[in-house]
Amino acid sequence: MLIVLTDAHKEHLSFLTTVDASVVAEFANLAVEFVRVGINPKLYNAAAQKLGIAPDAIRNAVEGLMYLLVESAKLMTTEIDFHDSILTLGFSEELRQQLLQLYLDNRKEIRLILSEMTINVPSYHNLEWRLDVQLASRSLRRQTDPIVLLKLETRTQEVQQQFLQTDPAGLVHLTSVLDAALSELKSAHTRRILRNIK
Amino acid sequence: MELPASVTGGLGLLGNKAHFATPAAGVALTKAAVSVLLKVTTEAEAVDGEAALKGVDRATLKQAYAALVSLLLEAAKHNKTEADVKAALEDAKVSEDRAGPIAAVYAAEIVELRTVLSSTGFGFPHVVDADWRLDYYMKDNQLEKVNQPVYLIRLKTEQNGGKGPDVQFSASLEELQDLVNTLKDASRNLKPVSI
Amino acid sequence: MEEVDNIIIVSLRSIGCDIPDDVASIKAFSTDIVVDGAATALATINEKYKFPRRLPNEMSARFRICTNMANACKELGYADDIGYHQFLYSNESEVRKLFMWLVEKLPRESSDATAEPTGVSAVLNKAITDELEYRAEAPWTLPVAKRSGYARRVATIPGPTPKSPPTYVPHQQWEGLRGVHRLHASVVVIPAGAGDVTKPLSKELRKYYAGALPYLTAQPPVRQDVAPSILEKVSAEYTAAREWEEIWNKEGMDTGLSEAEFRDRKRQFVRSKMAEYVRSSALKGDGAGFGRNDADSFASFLDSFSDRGLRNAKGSRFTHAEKFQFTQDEGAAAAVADTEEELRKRREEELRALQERLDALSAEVDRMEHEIRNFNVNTSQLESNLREEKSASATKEALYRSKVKVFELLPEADKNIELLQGLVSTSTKRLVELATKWEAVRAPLVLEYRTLKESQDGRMTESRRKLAQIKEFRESMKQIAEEARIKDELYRQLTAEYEKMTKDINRSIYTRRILEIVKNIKKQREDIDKVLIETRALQKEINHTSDVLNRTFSATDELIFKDAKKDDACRRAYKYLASLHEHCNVLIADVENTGKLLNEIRDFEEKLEQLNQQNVLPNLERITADYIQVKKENQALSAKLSGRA
Repeated sequence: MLIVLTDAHKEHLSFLTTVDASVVAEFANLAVEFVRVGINPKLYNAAAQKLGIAPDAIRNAVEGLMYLLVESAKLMTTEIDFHDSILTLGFSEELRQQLLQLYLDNRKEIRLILSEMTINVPSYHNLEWRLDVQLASRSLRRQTDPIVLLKLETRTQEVQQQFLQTDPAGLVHLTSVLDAALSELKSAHTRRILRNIK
Repeated sequence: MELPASVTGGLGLLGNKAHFATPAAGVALTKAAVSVLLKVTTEAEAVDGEAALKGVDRATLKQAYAALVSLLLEAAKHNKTEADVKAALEDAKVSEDRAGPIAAVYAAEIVELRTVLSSTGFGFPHVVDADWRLDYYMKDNQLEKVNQPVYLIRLKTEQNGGKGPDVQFSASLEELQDLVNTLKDASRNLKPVSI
Repeated sequence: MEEVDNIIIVSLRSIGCDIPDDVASIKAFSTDIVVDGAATALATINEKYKFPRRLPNEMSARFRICTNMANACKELGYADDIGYHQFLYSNESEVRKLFMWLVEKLPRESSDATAEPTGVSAVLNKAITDELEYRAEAPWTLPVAKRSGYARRVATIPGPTPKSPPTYVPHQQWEGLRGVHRLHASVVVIPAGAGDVTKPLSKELRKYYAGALPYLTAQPPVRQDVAPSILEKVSAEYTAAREWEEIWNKEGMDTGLSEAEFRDRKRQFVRSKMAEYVRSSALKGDGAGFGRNDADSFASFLDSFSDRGLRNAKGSRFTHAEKFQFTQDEGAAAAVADTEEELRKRREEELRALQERLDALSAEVDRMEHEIRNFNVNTSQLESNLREEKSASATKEALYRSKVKVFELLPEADKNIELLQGLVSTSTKRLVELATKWEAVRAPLVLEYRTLKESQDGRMTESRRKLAQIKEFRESMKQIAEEARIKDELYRQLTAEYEKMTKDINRSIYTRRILEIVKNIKKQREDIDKVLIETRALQKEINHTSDVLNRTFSATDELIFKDAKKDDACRRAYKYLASLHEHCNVLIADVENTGKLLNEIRDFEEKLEQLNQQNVLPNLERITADYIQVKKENQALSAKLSGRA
């Protein structure tokens, strides 16, 4: 799938054709860095002074690059599609290859960063168990009642602990139910759907 | 058995011919006490409606009943045998021919009595069942083509006297695999061979 | 042999063999009985040996089964030769040997009992493993299907032997907490003393018990609290009684008071101590809690409190339950509902007004206190002044009175002096008289006092001695009770053991048999001894006779030999003698040979008997018959085969 770029975006990026390849490389590194840790406006001014160009132009160029990378990563754009998408920008072949390489190098990381920004539901982290046998209580002595204690750890932002208990029959049941869930993924229906979506 | 004087005194009434004319009356009172403790009937039905107990002085009847209830609960609490109960009754000056049948009633109901006693307790939320759902995570507002299977799991729990909070979480295939393996390990280790 | 047979038959019957009643010895065992007995015994020894208890009709199948049984016996370690023929073509002695060995091998019930683990931890371990084994296999119950939250199942407990049926025990367990409640105890009253003849119940209490007091199980307001409430009450009463006994034994006995008096004193002591603490803390806390003047009312409150506790618990004071009820009553203050806004405003206003009033009042109080202090100082000063003045005026008054008297008497001094002297002398005389009289009265009183005091001392020591005795008795009572308890326990244990043991019915039969056998053996031994002695006597006689013979012969030989040289007849006689001697020797040897031969004949006869016993002939006949049958079967089979082919 091709990336559709707006005219303003194209204009911003076309600035890159006016500068050296080394400067473009510098900008590209800056863009990746900003995706990672956030935008630092001071660097625009420093670069502007060094290159003798208006800070706004540099800013547009870098952020245009950032947008290009993030959008491509979000859509999982293939190598060819990416290449074709930036074909219209009038970059030299060398520059296109450079950008493509940049995209391929950083795609995985950018997707990871993006995935952290999505909805977070508590997810399974760890489970520990312990077998206790209740031998006596305040109102009943001489009993042997097995209890399985469970420490369930789930994670949303940080790890959360929960203490649960169950009886042997319950444990066996729980295991079989979840095991059945697991084997559902291997069923013909699910496999067919998975295959067709990809 | 560790019984206070008020209880042994009340039990002693059961052995007194002046209060309870026949051994059958003592057995009837014991059965009534058991059925009340097991929440089968009410005192009004079980004690007041019992023909064998007609004509027994009310105050005496209540004291003997209270003592029997205390004895039954205390014996069940410590899982005493029929012989122990019989000995306790004989210690309270109940003759053997009266103590024997009463102890027999106790022995027949001990499992039920202990079940009643075991209904007092507490614990962590008790998992009784599990629900699951298999989703296919396709995309979200930040990311497209994620394409991963995701399980949503809900553990149903119970707490003292009712439903407990549900525990809900998601798990990827690998995470669920880990969870099931841990549970299987636990189930396997329940088998006494491994102790 | 009869005893052995009996034991074998009884044992075989006990493991479930159908041996007809008229069968009394192994001699009468048919092939069917032999096979049935061997198959059952093998199955009892080890469950893996499963053989049919009835032989089938086909010869080949019979042969196979018997061979397998023989192999099983070999596997179990039967030392002698064994094959199918022992079963199919049995002879008495071999069958006996086989069954003796099998009965020996049978598992003994008593060995099962000793295999049960003993010791607390072992028993607990077994209970836990049993429970886990059962629970891990138990099916899961749907939460909604559990009756008020617990799963009800029937556990199957296998019987003591593989043959006996299993027992079914209801096994129910809380799986989940839906039906489980937290422990909460409420106050219950256990009526006491209704049937007491020595100390009848007060009329009011009896009426209360008979009428208003609900049944014990109906007293807690919530049904699920019934069991915990009663259990807590029972243990609280028991503990309180134990505690009191401890205190009474430790401290109460020495005081020499009765139990009730001691209790009264103890209560008084505790009450005064508490009141003191409360008072002092109230003084320290300056107006907090009970005020200065409230100390008395607190004491009265304590009164009611401890009285209530005493009457209710019959000997136990301050039960937890009572305390609990008390605090509950206190805490039952209700709040008035109102909108929060209004409430806050009003409260603030009130607070401000009250604060102002408080400030004014405390200033007032400060001032007043200051004044009071001043006044107090003044008052005490003035009071001391007053006291001084009063004492001064009293002395002065006395002085004044004597002086007035003196002045009155002055005009007729001499007469008055005489009068006075007379008065003085009479009064001294009276004084002396009184003294003698007093002495007379005092002496017996003093004597009485002394005797009384002595008797008092005696009584004190007596009571002390008796107290010591009582203590001793109590100690020994406790000891004896403890001993009785231990012995009771022992008795119970032993009866349980005995009950376990009497299951073995064969025991007495066995012992009787063994005793009989021993008796028989003794008798036989005596017989053997007798025979041996006789044999020895005979031997001796024989030796003796041959000695005499030898001597006679040599003497005769010598005598005749001497004369033989001289006399012809004598020579002939000598010759005859020599030949006679020789012939006699031959004769003796022959007799001995005959004996040996007789012995041999007897041996052979015995062997013959044995062989006859092994019923070779009928067996041979049976074997031939069986052989013919097998042949026939084989022919039939081959005919079938060829027919099919």
